[in-house]
Amino acid sequence: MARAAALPRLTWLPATISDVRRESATATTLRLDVDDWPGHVPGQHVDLRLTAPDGYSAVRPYSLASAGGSGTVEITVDTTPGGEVSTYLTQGARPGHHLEIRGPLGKWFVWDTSDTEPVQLIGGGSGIVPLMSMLRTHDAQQHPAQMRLLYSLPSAVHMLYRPELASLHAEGTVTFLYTRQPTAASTRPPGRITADDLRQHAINPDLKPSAFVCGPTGFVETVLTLLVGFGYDPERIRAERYGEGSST
Amino acid sequence: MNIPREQRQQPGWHVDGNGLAGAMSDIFGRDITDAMGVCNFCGNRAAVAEVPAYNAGPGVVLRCAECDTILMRWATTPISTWLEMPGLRSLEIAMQP
Ligand SMILES: Cc1cc2nc3c(=O)[nH]c(=O)nc-3n(C[C@H](O)[C@H](O)[C@H](O)COP(=O)(O)OP(=O)(O)OC[C@H]3O[C@@H](n4cnc5c(N)ncnc54)[C@H](O)[C@@H]3O)c2cc1C
Ligand SMILES: [Zn+2]
Repeated sequence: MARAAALPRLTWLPATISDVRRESATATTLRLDVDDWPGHVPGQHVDLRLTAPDGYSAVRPYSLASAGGSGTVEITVDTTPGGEVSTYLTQGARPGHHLEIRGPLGKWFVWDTSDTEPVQLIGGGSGIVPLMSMLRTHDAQQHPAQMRLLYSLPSAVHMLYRPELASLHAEGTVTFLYTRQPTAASTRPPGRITADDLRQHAINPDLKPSAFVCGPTGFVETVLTLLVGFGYDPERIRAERYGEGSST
Repeated sequence: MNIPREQRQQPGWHVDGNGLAGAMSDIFGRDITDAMGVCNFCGNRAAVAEVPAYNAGPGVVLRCAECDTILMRWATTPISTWLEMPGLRSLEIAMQP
């Protein structure tokens, strides 16, 4: 039988930072070189472990930003003020530094590319990261499903993946919802996501879309309530809460 | 989807069981986020990935999204992990492909 190869047991894999890119005023994208990386599907995350010379270690989950099936391991980390792990990853990390990851993890918050139903993505702050993996996978495969993104962020300087999202915005795939400072071109008053935003920009519930919602816990709770109120089927909604430490 | 928090009693923020895939693999030896658990109190059946998980304290607590019953909790010390499953009636773990 061809598929007899067993799944590798989940172990910590040594990773070397091969590229560091400033992604926004506060966030950084890290590319990691990992031998024997088994690949991932869009929406999955890794656990990342930092170990100090005295043996103290800290583990945090980070979503994978790179397209599924690409073999590339990229994460994007936003600064959490006073945060133990994110402060190093956004400010101290340099190419050549070593750390450890295990994964890919999470079998639930994943987009199955064999589905052709429309997909509504809604991200707040760094919650855009796994959704970007879905958009990149969609793009790389020229996938036929309709996919749209609503992205809630404080202001334009906080935008992750700006070149890619700007072109998707021009195509009408992405809507930016600024919570604090809108751009000059935007007519929407700044503020948190509302039922009106969904009515205007989200895929119509009559089309039976699935939805992926990701971001700080409070943001996710708000969006879930709004989506169900708008008529989305709760069975087709999947959520990933980042906790309250991560920023919006 | 798991229900928004204002409808539950536990104070404080939480993540989803999905975000603890790695931590649970230390206990179960594999990613069990797609395993289905049944609450012993209300009978609610949900994927481990969707269960609200409170990890801001020293240990981790997973609660039923419907009735707040503690399904599973664990704490890890340098020498062992102490695991309790007071409110979990069953856990169905699919065979590896
Ligand atoms: C599944 C999943 C995926 C994620 N993916 C991403 C991602 O792609 N990108 C991303 O940027 N983040 C992501 N996160 C969030 C990430 O895991 C971390 O939570 C985040 O980076 C903060 O970690 P930290 O170590 O910097 O902060 P921590 O040191 O853990 O601190 C978090 C917050 O708690 C406060 N705090 C810490 N200790 C105390 C204390 N003793 N008393 C009071 N307050 C305290 C800090 O000031 C801070 O506000 C994800 C989370 C989950 C669950
Ligand atoms: Zn219950």
